[in-house]
Amino acid sequence: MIRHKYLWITLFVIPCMLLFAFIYAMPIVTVFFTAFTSYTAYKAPSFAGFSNFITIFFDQSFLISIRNTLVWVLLQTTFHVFLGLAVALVLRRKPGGWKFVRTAYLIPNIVPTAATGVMFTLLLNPSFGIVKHLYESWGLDVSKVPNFFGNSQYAFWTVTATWMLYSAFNTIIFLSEMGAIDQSIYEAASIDGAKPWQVDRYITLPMVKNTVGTCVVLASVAMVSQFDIIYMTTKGGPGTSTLNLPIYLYKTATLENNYGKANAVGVIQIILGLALIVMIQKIFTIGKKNEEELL
Amino acid sequence: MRETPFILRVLAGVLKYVFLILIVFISLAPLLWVFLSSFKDYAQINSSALDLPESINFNNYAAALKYAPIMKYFLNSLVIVGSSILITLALVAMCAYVVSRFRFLMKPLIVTLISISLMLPAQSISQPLFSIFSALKIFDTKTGLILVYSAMGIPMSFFVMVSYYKTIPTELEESSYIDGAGFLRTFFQIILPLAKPGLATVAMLQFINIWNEFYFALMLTSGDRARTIPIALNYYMGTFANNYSALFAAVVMTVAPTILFFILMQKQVIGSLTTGAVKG
Repeated sequence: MIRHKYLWITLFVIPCMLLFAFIYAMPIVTVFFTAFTSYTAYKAPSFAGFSNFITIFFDQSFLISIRNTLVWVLLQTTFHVFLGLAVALVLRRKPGGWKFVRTAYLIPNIVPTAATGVMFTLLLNPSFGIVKHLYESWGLDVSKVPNFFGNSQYAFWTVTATWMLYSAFNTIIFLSEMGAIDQSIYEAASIDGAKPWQVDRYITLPMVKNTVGTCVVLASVAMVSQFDIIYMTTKGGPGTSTLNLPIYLYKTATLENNYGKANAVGVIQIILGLALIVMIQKIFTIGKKNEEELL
Repeated sequence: MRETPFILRVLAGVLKYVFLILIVFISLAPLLWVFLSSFKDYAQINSSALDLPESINFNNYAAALKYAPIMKYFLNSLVIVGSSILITLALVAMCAYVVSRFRFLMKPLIVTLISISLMLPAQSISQPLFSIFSALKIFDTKTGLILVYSAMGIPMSFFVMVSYYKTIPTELEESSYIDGAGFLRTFFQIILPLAKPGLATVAMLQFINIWNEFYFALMLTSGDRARTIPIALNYYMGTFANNYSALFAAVVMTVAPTILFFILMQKQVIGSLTTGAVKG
């Protein structure tokens, strides 16, 4: 028998929960309360009902930020995850140089996303980037070099490209799941004369279905809070072409200093994030495996 | 069963390698371009984006170091990331242990709270944190960032550690208690040594996530005092607005150590990332 069991349990839980309460719980409660108040950097909160929510839902740029966020969630949960899966399916068979490809592909995911933002800004800079160079070498009119981040016509897709193609985290998650598949299944398939694409279609893919669900959830969470690269490259502009919820919230809090409104956006962001996760889990029927295991 | 025609198999093989080469190209080309450009002078950067540098000169690096205290930002990052890893490890090692081993009243609540925060978008709680930190005079301090990062590490580390503790057989503790050892002694002498691989995974995950953390560092610092590497990059964009050649060098200096670390520790990094995704 353990002496003073419950005392030790309490002592072991408290430090962690104190820090947790200070950094997470207190702010979350504040967000949900002050979202219903009129509250700025210069004015203490006073109850204001739903006025913040009404204000943002009549704000054109808020609606655009929701739309952009959702478009990015959609692209990231489909194309981005699919690309990661495709790379994993190729690397799974360990073709020559597969380790090099894995390492190379992971590098852009390891460097600070802020650095990726700076690099693409430099790379696509209209006055010295590679696009200008290509225009020169193809004999095109250099004065017409497109400003990929500065022109609202291209900005959205340019920003998207800076993260959409870098799916290496998904690739290594898939690779590790595929590595865990029982080899005898593959042997049986090859004895039966299955072609490589059949093996992938009927064995590998069904076996990693749950992992696809996990990756889709992670992709969705990442896009609901996507900030770094947008901030480094376009800050949501030009105009509202690359504005999403996090940037809108940041601008409301730091430029407008309107804390009540910022926290109303925060409430929407939290609800949107949770709603997407619930939806994805319904689609993939992955349930809350972790919690059930624990309780 | 008909064999796939030879020509199709060759074509598939070629396509596979074209695909892989493209993947490597999009991953390394931008980095390589920035690296090569960092040795060019201003005129050469403007005139020839794709040429190799005429000579290897470190003028850009000298200029970057002169205008921005890059070493100071590195030191800030090391102190902040290091401290927060240690704090998260200590707190989670204890909390996850009792959650994995015992039943108690608050356990379902703790697990639910932590799993909700796993999915919480960082921006949504940043304004209250800003106000609280200003009121407590820890805005723009290393202490402030260390606190945020230590807490940010809790959710993922918690689930990784709980599932790791579950792999350690309980017989070891039972025999330790029968031998008359107390709770603390059993935890420190029996459990913690066995939990080292789990703790290493958590430390690595925490390092990867926090070394690159941008948003809270931006929101909760204002000067050089606690500025970390990712925020320094944002600051360079302003500082070097008219001196792009130095900006290239500054980017290389901030990115290179991260890449070197990754290449050296690759096995551990990949292992931790997969564990984190699957358990978290």
